[in-house]
Amino acid sequence: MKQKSLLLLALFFYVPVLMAAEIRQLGQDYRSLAMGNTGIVTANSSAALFYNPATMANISTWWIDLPMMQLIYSDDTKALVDQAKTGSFNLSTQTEQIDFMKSFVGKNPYVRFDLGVNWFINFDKKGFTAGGNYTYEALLDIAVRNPTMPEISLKSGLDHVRQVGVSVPLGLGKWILGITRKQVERQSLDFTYSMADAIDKKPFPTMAANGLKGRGTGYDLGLLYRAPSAARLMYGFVYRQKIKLGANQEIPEEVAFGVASVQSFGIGKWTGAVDWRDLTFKNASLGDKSINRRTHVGTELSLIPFSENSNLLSLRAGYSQGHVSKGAEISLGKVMVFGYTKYAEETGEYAGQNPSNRTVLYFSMGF
Amino acid sequence: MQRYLSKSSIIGLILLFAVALGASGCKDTKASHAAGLLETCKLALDASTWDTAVTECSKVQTDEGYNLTAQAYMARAGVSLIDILTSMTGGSAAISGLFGAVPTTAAQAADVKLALDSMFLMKTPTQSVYLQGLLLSSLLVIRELQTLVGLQVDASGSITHCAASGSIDGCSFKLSLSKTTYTTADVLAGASIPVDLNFTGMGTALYDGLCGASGGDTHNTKVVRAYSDVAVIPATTPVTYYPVDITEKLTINKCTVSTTSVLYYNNLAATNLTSSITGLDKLNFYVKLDTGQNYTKTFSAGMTSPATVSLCNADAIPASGATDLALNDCEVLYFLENLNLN
Repeated sequence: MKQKSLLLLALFFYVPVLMAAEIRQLGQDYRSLAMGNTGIVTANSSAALFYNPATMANISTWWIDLPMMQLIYSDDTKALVDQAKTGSFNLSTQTEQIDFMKSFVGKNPYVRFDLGVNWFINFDKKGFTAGGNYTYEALLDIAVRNPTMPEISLKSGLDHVRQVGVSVPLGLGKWILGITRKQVERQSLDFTYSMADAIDKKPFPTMAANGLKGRGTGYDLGLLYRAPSAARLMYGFVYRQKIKLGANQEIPEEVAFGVASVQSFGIGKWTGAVDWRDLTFKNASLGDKSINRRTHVGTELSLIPFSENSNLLSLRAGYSQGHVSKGAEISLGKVMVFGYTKYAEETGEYAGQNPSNRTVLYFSMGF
Repeated sequence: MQRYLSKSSIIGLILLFAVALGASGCKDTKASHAAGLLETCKLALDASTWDTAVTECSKVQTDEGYNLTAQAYMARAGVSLIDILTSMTGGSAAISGLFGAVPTTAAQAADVKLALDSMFLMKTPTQSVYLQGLLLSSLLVIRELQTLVGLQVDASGSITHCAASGSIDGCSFKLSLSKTTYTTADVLAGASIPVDLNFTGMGTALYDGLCGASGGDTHNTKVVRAYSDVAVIPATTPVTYYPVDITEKLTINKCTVSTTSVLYYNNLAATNLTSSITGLDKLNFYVKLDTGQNYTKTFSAGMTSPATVSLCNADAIPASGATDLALNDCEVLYFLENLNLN
């Protein structure tokens, strides 16, 4: 009787709290994230196609990453892992579900793992380059909110991205045109599970039972202008077409603009960049038109070059959506690349509101 | 580089870094759109910073904002819906679970009231809101009754208070006669024994708390006749007794139930809650209180023929009707002597 009454009472309290609006973008990589998530002009790694296909003109060699692995996790994930290590993490019973919600209120465990193969070939120093990515992105993003009636908001998914692109110099190479064809297959699960559901012993949603599947294709069109001056200022623009994935899923369109400068000196190279992303305000909540939230600033100091696209040591820093980022890379040519980045993703509604502090570990082998 | 670095290039680079530096100092300090305000509210709730939550959630003037504001007030008052739910045991003792959540301070009670005010600003209240409204308004009614009559409940759900025996004689506001024993010396002019019935009302605090305001009526002209146990001298056959004329000297407190009052919310919630949950029907305090019932009291000490006094009557202070949003001592006293929450 007690259980039944409690259940009936609790059911009334179900008021879903939506997860805050993180601007989610495909293919964010350790280098760009360390540089404040800039890349509209300066991308020159295997993630170039995810930022602006025209930036493939920054690639002056060729390589294949086989494989590329990248792990991104939030600081709050550690608490989850710690619980798992002690064996105390279990959500199989109602009590455990309620205890978990109470203990994780306000926390945001986030884990993303990317695995893929990348290839890029430069044909012409003016910027004629072709490339492609074959990538899987697995995501688990949990937020537990509202201590007065705790509930879990969970997003999980698996994206399979296949994309190919080409950058083509126009004229003498001051202007570069780039285009990408992107095919995305997505399996996703997105739900809010409240304490009322736990008391109700409602089954915890699973990908198999509640997941959505979709597939779609879209094109990115990019431009790069390299000003013919010693300042080596470059300007970039990209339009990313919306990709409809069916089943009420879509990847919104994006318009972005960036400006950057790259200066070489002795054994090193310095890069500075500023990007403004999501300029049509399609990727965040309705009414969110914060420019600060869409502003990304980054810099990189690369030392001891192996080639124009590979340096033994790179140090990076940036500022994105009101939060500082930093990172480092050690690269043995393209044979082995180790990357490390600390950054904060804005998961609230404006720049600086609710950062999710995250770490990126990157490793790739190739030739 | 030195060869080609022109003035315009230098200016360009300086501009680039100026933009970068400017941007690096840029951070929004507040939300510029509705979702941002809502997120600020939710973050304050997540952080259990209730004062901030109250402030921020109050800025969100949507149904969700009103609901979250109510939750912030509840949390600040120390009222946990989870605790209430888990302590309500269902069945006949369901109500006893509420008593542990009754606000103990005036500040907490004020927050609970503000929570009610906020949730009933919603344009489309949900069943959840009605349930919360019923529980919260009941907490405040119970708090008033605790103050007034020492209302308590034990683990089995048994209610105790000063009128639990069915009589308010154990309460501080009981009705009393100026005399309860009579002799021939009390007889004036060979006619009757004059006695005063004293009742100064239950006070205004109860009505202020339940209705949002209070008022009062007084009268001292109504006389009720009874007969003492003092035989008329000289003796008669059959024996007759000197009458007792009881003059009612009364103050009756009362109130009109305002649309932003605890009792109004209680009725609104109870009326709209379509739940068959055991015990919740007992929480419709408004219907229990605003019955239109009169309060009658019989005095028999020292009487041959007991006197029955009705506090509200047509000759003095009229009784109010049932569920007419008018409440007075007559109805409250009747409620107290018939109080049953199980």
